[in-house]
Amino acid sequence: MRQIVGETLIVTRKEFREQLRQPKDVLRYIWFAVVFGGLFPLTNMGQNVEAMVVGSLPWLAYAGVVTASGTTVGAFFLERQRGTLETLLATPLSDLAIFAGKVIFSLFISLLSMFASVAMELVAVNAALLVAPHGLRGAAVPFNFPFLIYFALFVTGPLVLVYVIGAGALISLRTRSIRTANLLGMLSTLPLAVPLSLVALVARPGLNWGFVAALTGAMVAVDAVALRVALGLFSRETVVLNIPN
Amino acid sequence: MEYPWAIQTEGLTRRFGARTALDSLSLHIPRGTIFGFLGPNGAGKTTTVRLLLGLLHPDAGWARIMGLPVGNESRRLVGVLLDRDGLYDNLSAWDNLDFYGAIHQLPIPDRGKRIEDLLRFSDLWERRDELVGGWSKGMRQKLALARALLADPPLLILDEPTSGLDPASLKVVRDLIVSLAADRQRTIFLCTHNLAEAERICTQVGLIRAGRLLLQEEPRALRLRMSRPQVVITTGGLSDAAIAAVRRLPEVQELTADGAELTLTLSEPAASERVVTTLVAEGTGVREVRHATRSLEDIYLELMQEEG
Repeated sequence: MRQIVGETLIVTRKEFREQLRQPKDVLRYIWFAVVFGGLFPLTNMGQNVEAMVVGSLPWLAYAGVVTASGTTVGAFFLERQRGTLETLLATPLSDLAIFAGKVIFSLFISLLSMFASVAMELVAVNAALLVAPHGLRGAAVPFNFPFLIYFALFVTGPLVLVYVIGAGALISLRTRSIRTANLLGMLSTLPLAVPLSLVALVARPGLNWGFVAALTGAMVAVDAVALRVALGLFSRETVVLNIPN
Repeated sequence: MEYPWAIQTEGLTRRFGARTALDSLSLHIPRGTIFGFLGPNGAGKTTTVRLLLGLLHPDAGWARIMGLPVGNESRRLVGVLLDRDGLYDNLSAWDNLDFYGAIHQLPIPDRGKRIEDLLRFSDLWERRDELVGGWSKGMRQKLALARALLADPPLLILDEPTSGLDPASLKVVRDLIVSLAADRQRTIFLCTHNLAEAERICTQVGLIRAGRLLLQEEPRALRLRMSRPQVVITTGGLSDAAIAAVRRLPEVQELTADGAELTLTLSEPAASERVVTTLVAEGTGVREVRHATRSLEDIYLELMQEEG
């Protein structure tokens, strides 16, 4: 177990090193934070604070989902396309460590993206309230989100991201072009509507603890299945056979 | 007792649908051997390498590396350079090696020293902090080779390691391969199309075609076994009578006359003396007698033609 963790962290660290050498990608994540965290919430000014908070939640989550999809394609598809994956698979690293190392990297970057979006939204709303103190009914400086928002974003959110990353990984290991990988990666989020609808049937949809808790439970089950399938299909042989010549 | 074979396979077979990419490959490569694995594209070389590295599973047969079944433990004992160099374009030369050093669990102080030694040896030390994405093929190849050597593995699997290298670097790499095997008992499994190189450095060669191993032998023994004595005789001028007289000799298997030059394939090397005597007896002036030996390339091409 200790060895697997160590190997996983080696892969994750390599992913970070590569990412930090690509300023274009880093700038893209900052742009997501500005757009999803800073600009969209400001379009809700004039409403009451609860509507604004509920309305901004999908945008904040979307920043994470888009980032997760993008980083996963980068971590799996590009490595496969550039021919580095076969050499990596020829090392003593276990399949699990290679897979988990990349998943953890994508998860961390996506969470960072969501975190940056939240921070950006708080800065934007507080700045807007300073300029127009009555711009958001029921809110005052210093404005902060209720705890439930943080729980939904940083407890339920990662569970959603794990599914997105797992599906993105499998797609990235099988598709022939990065465009297809990106498209299918985004489409793979659609099946999430199933657990979401089921939860909505039994819990009152909206920003309440019952809904969030039920959604969290459903996502744990979805992730367990998704990760089991992804790990089962992530073997050296299936990866190598799908490496383009 | 140390396991004698660096690589051992028995009946190793792999099919892709109806096509048999590798058909009952049985190889026994002793430690300290430089083994040249030769064959045309699509012969089964890549499939063999992938099976030896555990990247593919065999449909039948088995393989062992240093006595270990193929898996994560056997992969610890192997340094690889595959047909694509596998370097990360967005990492520096140092970071590329550091990543693989970490994978092979080299302790940090030793790892740094080892990376420095290899980068200096490869003439890449001054460029260690550059991203390798913009590097030339030759520089990348040297770095990829350094990566294969990083953990000082007892077995190296190298696919065209000298491809893209300038003559000076090529000599360095060639000498390195020879010294690794001769001085340090490292085993090198070398996939190459460069038959002259294989002939020069390999202590054993294996010829594969259409998934089947045609032979595994020392290049010198192979040349002796496969070569029939060939003689090229330059004369002052050949008459039809002289050619006819030589053709009548029982040791002459093939004869080609080209102007004043006579090329003969003989059943035994000593027969060249009788040929010369016959020519002189027919009044032909003999200026030069050359005994031609067949190169590995000649033998390879002949075998590939026969099998084809």
